[in-house]
Order: sequence, then C-alpha cells, then structure tokens
Amino acid sequence: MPPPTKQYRELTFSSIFLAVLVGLVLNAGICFAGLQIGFTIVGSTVAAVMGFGILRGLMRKGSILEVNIFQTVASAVNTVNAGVIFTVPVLFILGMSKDIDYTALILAATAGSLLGVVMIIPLRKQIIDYERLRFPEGTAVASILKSPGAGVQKAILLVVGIAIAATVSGLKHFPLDAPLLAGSLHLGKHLSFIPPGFSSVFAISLLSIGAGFLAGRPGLVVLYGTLLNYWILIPACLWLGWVPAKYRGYDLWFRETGVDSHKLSEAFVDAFSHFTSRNVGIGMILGGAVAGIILAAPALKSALGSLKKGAGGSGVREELPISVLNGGLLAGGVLMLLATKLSGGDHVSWGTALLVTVVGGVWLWVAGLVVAQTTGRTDWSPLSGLALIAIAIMMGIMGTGDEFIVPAVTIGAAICVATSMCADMMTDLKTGYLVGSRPIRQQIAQIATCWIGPAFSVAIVIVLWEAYAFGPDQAKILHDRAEQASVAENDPSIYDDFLMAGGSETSLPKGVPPLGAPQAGALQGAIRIVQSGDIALGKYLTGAALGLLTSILVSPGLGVMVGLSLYLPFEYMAVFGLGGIACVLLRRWKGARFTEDKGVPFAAGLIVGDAVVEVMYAVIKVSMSL
Amino acid sequence: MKIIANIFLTIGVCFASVGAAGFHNPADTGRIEKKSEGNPDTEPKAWPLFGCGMFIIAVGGFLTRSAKSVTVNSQDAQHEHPTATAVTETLNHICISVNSIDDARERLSRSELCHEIDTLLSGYFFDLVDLREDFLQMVGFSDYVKVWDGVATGERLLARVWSIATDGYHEEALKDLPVAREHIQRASDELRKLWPQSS
Repeated sequence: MPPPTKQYRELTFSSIFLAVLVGLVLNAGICFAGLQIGFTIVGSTVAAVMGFGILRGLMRKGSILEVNIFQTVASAVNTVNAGVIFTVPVLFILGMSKDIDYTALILAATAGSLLGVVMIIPLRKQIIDYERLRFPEGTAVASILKSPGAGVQKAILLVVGIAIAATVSGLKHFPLDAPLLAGSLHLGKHLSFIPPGFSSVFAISLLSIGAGFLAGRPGLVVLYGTLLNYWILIPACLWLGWVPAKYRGYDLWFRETGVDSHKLSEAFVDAFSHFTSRNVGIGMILGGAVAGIILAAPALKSALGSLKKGAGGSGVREELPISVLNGGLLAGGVLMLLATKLSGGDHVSWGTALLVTVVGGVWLWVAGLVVAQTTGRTDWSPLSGLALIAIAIMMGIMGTGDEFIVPAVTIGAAICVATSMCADMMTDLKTGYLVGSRPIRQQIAQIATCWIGPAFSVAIVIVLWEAYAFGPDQAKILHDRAEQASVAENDPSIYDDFLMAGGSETSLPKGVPPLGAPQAGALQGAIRIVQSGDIALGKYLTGAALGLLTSILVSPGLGVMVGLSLYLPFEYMAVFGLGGIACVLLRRWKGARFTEDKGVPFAAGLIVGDAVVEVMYAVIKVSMSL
Repeated sequence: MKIIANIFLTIGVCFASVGAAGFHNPADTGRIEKKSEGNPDTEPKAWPLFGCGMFIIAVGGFLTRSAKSVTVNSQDAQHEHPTATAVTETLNHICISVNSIDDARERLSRSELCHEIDTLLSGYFFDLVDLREDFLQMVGFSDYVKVWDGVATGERLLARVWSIATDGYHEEALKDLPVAREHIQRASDELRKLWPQSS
C-alpha cells in the first residue's frame, strides 16, 4: 500500500495545533475531576487515543511518530492542571482571593512549566536508557501507537483490554444518577470477622491493575509499603496509643454505642494518614531522594556529558543542546523571580525573592527527580506531599505570617506544576523511546507548548470558584454568597431561590456539583501547622533516615517507593499490588516472553479503557454544570 | 542468603516505621500545649523501636551486599561468569542480526523488514534487557554505561525503523538502519574491551 503523503510526517503544525486543542479540553475536564476527587487522571493515554482517531482515522495521514508528538503536546498542555489544582485553590479556601496577584500566579505557573521541562531533559538518558524504568502509562501509550503493525494477536489483546476496562468503568459512572456498579468493594462490611480498623476496601480500578501489571516486580515495593502502613503501622500505633487523642482507647473494632464503627474507623484512618503516615512517608521520600542523588551522581555526570556531545552517529542531533536548556533555565528563573516579588509585594524584598527563586529552583530539581523515579516505577507521584514541603520551605524563608501565604503558595504552585511536567515529559520520552521518536523533536514540541496550559488552568480554577466555590465548606460559602447578594441588591428572592433549590449552610443546592478540593483542604491544614510552628520534625527526620538507609544499602529508589506508598490510598494501592502479583505469577507460569507479548498489550488496554471513560465522565460533568 | 536478607529488611523496616510514628506526639499536631493537656511523651519508647529497626535493616543490607559479592567473586575471572557469557553471546547475536538486516536492506520488502526487526526486538534484545541488572552489578556503573549506551540508542533507532516502515515509508525507514548498526557495533566493541578474553 503506497504511503499517504510523500514526506514522512513527524513534527507537523497540524499535529501540534490539534493537540493543543485536545489538551485544553482535557485540562478543563481533569481540573474539575481533580477538585472533586483529589487526584488527577492520566492524560497521555486519552491523548494518544484521540490523536490516533483524529490523525489516522479522520485525516488519514497521521504516522506513528506524528501521533506520538500529538500525545506529547496534548499531555503537556493538560498536565499542568495537577500542579495548579493541588495548590492554588487553598488561597480561595483561606479567604485570600482578593490578595492574589493573578499575573504573578500565571508567571509562576508558566515558570514552573518551563523549568520542569528543561530540568528533566538531561536526565532522560539516565532514567530511560540506563535505568530502563518502566513508566507503565508510557508503555501503554506505546502499545496503542504501535498497534497498526503489532500483529493481530497483540491488537486483539489491546482491544479486549480496552473493552473490558471501559465497560467496567462505564458501569461505575453511568447512568449518572444511579450507576450500576459501586466504585469499590468493602470486604469488611461483608465479612464480619474483619475489624473495621483493618483496611479492606478495594477499588474497582482496572487502570490500577493494569499499571501494577506493567510495573511488575519492582511495583511490589508499593504493595509492601501500603500493607506496612495499613496492616502493621496503624494496628501497632492503636495498640501503643500513638494516635490522635480522641482515638486513644479504641482497638481495631472501634466499638462505641450509637456510632457506626466503619465511619469512625474511616475518620481515624484519615486522621492517622494526615498526621503520621504522610509525615513519615514524606520523610522517607526525602531521604530516599538524597540517597538517589548521591548514587546517581556518576550517571548524571555521564548524561550531562552526552548532552554536551549532542550529535548521534549520523551527525543528527538527538537531544536539545545544553545552551537551549540553559536559556530555558534562565528564562524560567527570571519569571519565578518576578512572580515572587509581584505576589509578595512590599512584604518581600528583591533579595528575599532571589533567595526564594534559588532555593525553590533547587527543590524543584530534587522534587522533579523524585517524581520521575516514582512515575517511572509505578505511575504514582507524591505531587501534593512535595508541594506541601515546597510551601513550608518558602514560608520558612519569607516568614510564617498571613502576608506570606500568597507568595509561598504562588511559588509552591510553580514547583508543583514543574514536578508534574517532569513526570509527564519522562513518560512521553519513554513512549518515544519505545516507538523510535527522536527525543529532540519531542523536547522541542513540549517546550514550544508548555506555556499554554498554566494560564488556562488558573482560569478554570477562577471560573469554578466564581460559579460553584469549592473546598470543605463549599455549601457554607455559597450560602453566605446568596445571603450577601440578597442584601447588596436588596432582592430577597436571590436567597429564597437558593433555599428553594435545597441549599443551606451544610448542603449544596440542586445542580451544583460537589467540589471538595481535598488536596487544597489538606494544604490548608498544613499551612496552619507551619504557622503554629508545631511541625512533626521528629517524624520527618526519622522517616528521612529510614529512606536514606534503605536506599543506600538495598537499592536506589526503595526509600522513595516505600515512603510514597505509606500514605497513598489503600483501595488503589492494594489493587495496584494485585496487578504486580499477577505479573510475577504469569512470568513464573508462562515465562517472561509470554508475559511481555501477551500480558503487556492486555494490561495497556486496561489502562486505556479505564482512563478514557474516566475523562469522558469528567468532561460530561463539566459540560452539564456550565 | 538473599531470602534471609529480605526477611531482615522487611522486619527492620516494620520496626523502624513504627518507631518513627512514635516521634512528635500528639499525632494530631497543631496543639502546641501538648504536655499540659496530659498527652504522654512517646519518644522514650519510640527511640528503641526505631533504633532496633535501623540496626536490623543495616544487617539485612549487609547480607544483601554479601550475597551479591559472593555470586561474582566465586568465579576466577569475571568474564567466565555465566552472566558475562550470556551477555557476550546475546550481544553478538544482536550484532550479527543487525548487520545481516542492514546488508540485506535492498532485498528486504517492507513487511520482511518489520518482521525481522520485531523478531530481534522481542527476541535477543528482550533477553539482553533481562540480563541488564546482573550485568550492572557485575561491572559497575561506569563500564555498564559504556556498553549500554550503544545498546539503548541502537534499540531506539531500530524501533524508529520499524515505526516508519510500518507506516509505509520503506526508503525513509532504511536511513536509520546503518546508524543503529553503528551504535550496536560500538556497544559490542566496548564489551570486548571490558572482557578481552571472551569472544
């Protein structure tokens, strides 16, 4: 069959333009979903499927490598929303929306986007070529891109996986008012011998199973960390009484007259996670990260040397030259400096702003390295935890008064955006490695478009705040707005309509989607802790020592992985671990090659099918709300 | 010994994590006046647990490293180790296969080219990747990178040839074949420098 065009298509204007549009749609949908559920959904898989459909299906001329560029750009435009929605909403929840300098916020997010890309590019060789981290989502995307030539059997397995996952995910969300399938299986409620305090909720998430399968044996460390936290640490601390005061005296059964044991245990696990697991876990991540940097020093040196050489065997440049990366670093640094000074106003001097920029930049690099490692092994990343530390560091430099919250969160947003871009860039480069893209073309496409997403994400957050408010007190905020509007406009019907629609201080009126912004809620609590000075330094330091020791003595990345899994939700991590166990068992039973040939396409299909339906659901909810 | 080491590590991390959880009580931070509210100081109990856990981890780590060095040092020369033999043979096979594909590129049809590369990537390359970690442990990072850099770049370029050929651009696809060959040959040369006795 003759090729559709004369010239082979890879980095084309049409793929970039269409990808930006798709990226913006995904950005809006995932922003909304993220404010609802507290974590964001994978965007690369959906972007790859849409690119495939648009370029190869509709336009009939997209090539494999062109679709790869499409998904690179679409995910770059979309991914920044994670960094924005995990940080910016806290300013609204704290009642500081009038103090926000939106120019500074957009500059900061743009700086983060650019810095995230330029800082992680030099690590491509180490992480992808030398360490060969799996990047489950990147591997899944490559399976989609290669499906035209992968052979009938692999294509069938991919499609079957997509169909099964899409069906299950669809049953969890539709019909909208009465979904046919629950989102999780609560074993404890069906098996009376399981105490309520013993975590036994398993998410019905084929995406997690697929990701766990692709992660394979290395991903089992995540399962170990999850079981350590929920099945050993929690029971041990309950027994020892090392729990929040109001839970002392309880055992795993949480028996109390007139109280639902399961609800009480859920509240306890939530509190324990916030005040113990997260702190120890973040400490371990930091210790593991430091160990990783020490151990990776020779690799980093080699990678930088290779970047300076630049050209491949044929004289064709494979990576962006170091001068371009340095230029990006400088530009990002200047933007961050301006953002710090603008957001801090008279409270922040130029000297302090410079210090914040330098320290923030160093932390950004460390955090980017951590996230690239965790995403490479599991597809999960401790974005919120790292953002929390960033904001604590910024407040430590500038001051802990209320006047420093806005600049601290503004720079925290930059760092959070940067780390999400690091994870996305590495995932896309992994896909590129598997399909044969030239890294430089993906890097050019990402740098050229990374500035588009930040402003859009900030705008979405503002629109959602104005339309629906968000946060733990969403209902009260809307109630107070209706009351104040009634008085201001001397029109009692505004408040009456709010009440008639079922609204009150504790319940939302009909038609208003619940936007709990759980991550922003957690950040609000953390900021107050920083301000009070009562930081759990002991937990952070012991966690760091533990992470450092395990990473140095056993394997790099071990401390980061166990630390991460200490505070991620049990229901998803347990299921992820089941996927890893399935991979190990299949390898033992049928061999490594069978697992790679048959298991990988099927697992990739599970990730794609689930992700597509999740994003569709989010976009439908946004459209219905607007 | 590896199993014993893993047991020590598992137990050690458990103890150390529980110990870490006991620091900075109360667990619900934000209340500065902790002592005046009658909250117990848990750190005297936390320290022994944490310290014990860290010690057990150290023992487990030492056993893990000992297990690795016994495996390598038990042979007279590194190049006679089974992993070294397997790596050398597999890389040689890859070299021979890539060379023959490149030599035959004018005669191979598009689908034959895709099939040959697919077989190579899912065959010998897959086997080599399976040996990667043992190879790294054996030779150390610096020597590993010298060999693996060529392997990784060659693999990526072969994937590129496959993708472009699959899309129907046979002539365009062939352009990267000699470059892939160069990188694989470079990897093979570096391995020969490392283990001159092996062929």
